[in-house]
Amino acid sequence: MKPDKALGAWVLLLAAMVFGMTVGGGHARTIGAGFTIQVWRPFTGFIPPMNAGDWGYLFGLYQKTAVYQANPIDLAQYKALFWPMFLDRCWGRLMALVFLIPFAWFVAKRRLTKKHAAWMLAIFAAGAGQGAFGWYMVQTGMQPGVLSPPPLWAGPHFCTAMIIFALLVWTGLTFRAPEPARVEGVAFLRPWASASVVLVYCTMGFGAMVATTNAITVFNTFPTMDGHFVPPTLFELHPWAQNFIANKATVQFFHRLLATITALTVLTTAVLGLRAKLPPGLRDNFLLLAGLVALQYLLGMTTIVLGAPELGYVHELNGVLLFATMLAARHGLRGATAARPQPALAAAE
Amino acid sequence: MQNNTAASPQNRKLVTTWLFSLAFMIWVMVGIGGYTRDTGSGLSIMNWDPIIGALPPLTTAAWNKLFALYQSIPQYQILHQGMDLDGFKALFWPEYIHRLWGRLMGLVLLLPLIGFALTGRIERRLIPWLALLFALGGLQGAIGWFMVSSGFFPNSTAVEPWRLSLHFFAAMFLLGAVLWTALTVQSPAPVPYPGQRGLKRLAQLAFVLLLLAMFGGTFVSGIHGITAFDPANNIGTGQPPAGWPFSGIFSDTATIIFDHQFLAVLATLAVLAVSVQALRNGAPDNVRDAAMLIGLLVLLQFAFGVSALVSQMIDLGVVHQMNAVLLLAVLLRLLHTLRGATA
Repeated sequence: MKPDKALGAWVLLLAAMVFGMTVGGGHARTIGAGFTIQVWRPFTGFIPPMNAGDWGYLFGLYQKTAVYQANPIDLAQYKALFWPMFLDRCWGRLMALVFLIPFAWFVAKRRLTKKHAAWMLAIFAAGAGQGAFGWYMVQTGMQPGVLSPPPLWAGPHFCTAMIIFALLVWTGLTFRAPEPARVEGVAFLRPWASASVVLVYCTMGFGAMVATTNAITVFNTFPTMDGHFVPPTLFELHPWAQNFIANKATVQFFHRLLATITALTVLTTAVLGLRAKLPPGLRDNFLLLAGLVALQYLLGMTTIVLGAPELGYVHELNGVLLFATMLAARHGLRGATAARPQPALAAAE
Repeated sequence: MQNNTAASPQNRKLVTTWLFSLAFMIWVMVGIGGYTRDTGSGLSIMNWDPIIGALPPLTTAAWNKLFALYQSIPQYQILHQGMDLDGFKALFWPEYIHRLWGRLMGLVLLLPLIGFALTGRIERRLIPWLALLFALGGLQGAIGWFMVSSGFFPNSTAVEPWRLSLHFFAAMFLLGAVLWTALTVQSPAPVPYPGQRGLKRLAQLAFVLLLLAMFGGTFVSGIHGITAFDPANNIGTGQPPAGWPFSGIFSDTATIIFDHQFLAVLATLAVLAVSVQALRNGAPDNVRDAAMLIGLLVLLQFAFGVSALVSQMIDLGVVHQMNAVLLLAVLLRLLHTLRGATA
């Protein structure tokens, strides 16, 4: 397959739009707007409420949620929560259009092979599934006592979004450069980069649990957790797995622990990459990696010490950028070879 | 015959190792001093006996005599009223070890210097220079006493911050001088590095900014900034206090901490710029590695600084201080390597 810049740009644009979706979704979560729209009309839902009747209907549904009953608001306040959530959903529909229209064109122009078209459709299906997943999550707002999207819904919702994001980033980069560029003598970097990708992903997963369990409200100290390096309440819930969903101490502790391991691994990867002679593009990628991971750690520290959800939101977005940069670095290493050809041998040949 | 001259590789290596060890001892001294400072033990020994002070109190009577002296100073009367002898001993030992380590460094400099001079293993021109450093080391001890004595002023419970700063920067000068001398013995002739002058200028800028940030740091330490973090009153949150910069550079806690943070951000950016520049512009391997190391150390330093501030953990403050000195040392090493940089 030949490099296809336009195809790559389209898929990377979709990846950027997933990032935009985390901007919108993270914002909706931060302001507590998750349960404001209790209807799901996948196709006609882009039409905003037009008149008092529409508003009355939507607001009436919202009034049945536990969060409204715990904290009643008036229509003006409802509208302020409604619009971000509405835009978030419309963004999802826009993504479907940005997918389907160029997709049809690329297929018609035969720039997508059958295999690649099937692959892209699979990603599209995953995106549609993500929308349905989101709706079932929002629906839990009708259950008594559920004041925000439950961690077991919202955490995996973010994790599946990041899988779709990773698939898009990797596919887009591969369309741009289908043949791996040879990078001499850095094969040893590949396992480091792969491990970093996995670690960043897992840390983000725990980060999502910190956000959705509201674990930011406890242990606002660093480096200890209220004087303990390991909080004594780590496994106080039974069965033990329950701690990872409902125990703020456990969720936050494992996010901190994983984040530290991840930061050290990513920094080591970056240092190893920068000491090897990488081509300029890949070198800058590694440099960016070091910068983003350091920034991410500092943002995390600051977020927890100040207990500031707004900063947590910035921390989340920077995490996604770090993930993308890590993926790009790993992608650039596809063509890494074990050793430089020895000059003597090369001359002999 | 070559082996017996000061210029022989063996002798150069010997002198280098000796001077590096001395630099390492100064670094440890910074750690002991920082610990002494942060535990507030600096005022526990009220006399200055450069020679016989090397002996700790050996009898109960000697302990009681020292303790009685301590009980006469304002720090005891204001902060430690009713402290027992064990409490006093906990204050005494860090200060005692700090002073003892200083004496040990004097010996580690003086005795090998005499030995190397007599056997001709060291360049002649280095002898007066190192003898001067020995004298300055003695002066540093005197500055230390000059600092400690300010803690005995009426109503005073700690030394004056500016004297602490002087003591710290005298130490930094000694460390820099010993390190630079060691590096120059190791590689006397500058290696030419064409195209690296920009990097050298940037590293010089980073060096100046780092010194300024550390200057701010000595004042944070001097006012016991380790316990000052107070987000409710906007102390240590990174926002300028009302009226900044004229809100009390050397007196107001919030201002001193903000200034340190502000200078630290500038220094961090400059150091990171050195790393990025070296990595992107194809610097030679040894320059690149030093540049990368200062990048990592400065990130660590920033994280330590924030952690020390928010956790109020004394040990982290000491680690932050020692890491700063390490960063300064590696930056000096980089500047030394870049002596031969040309445009």
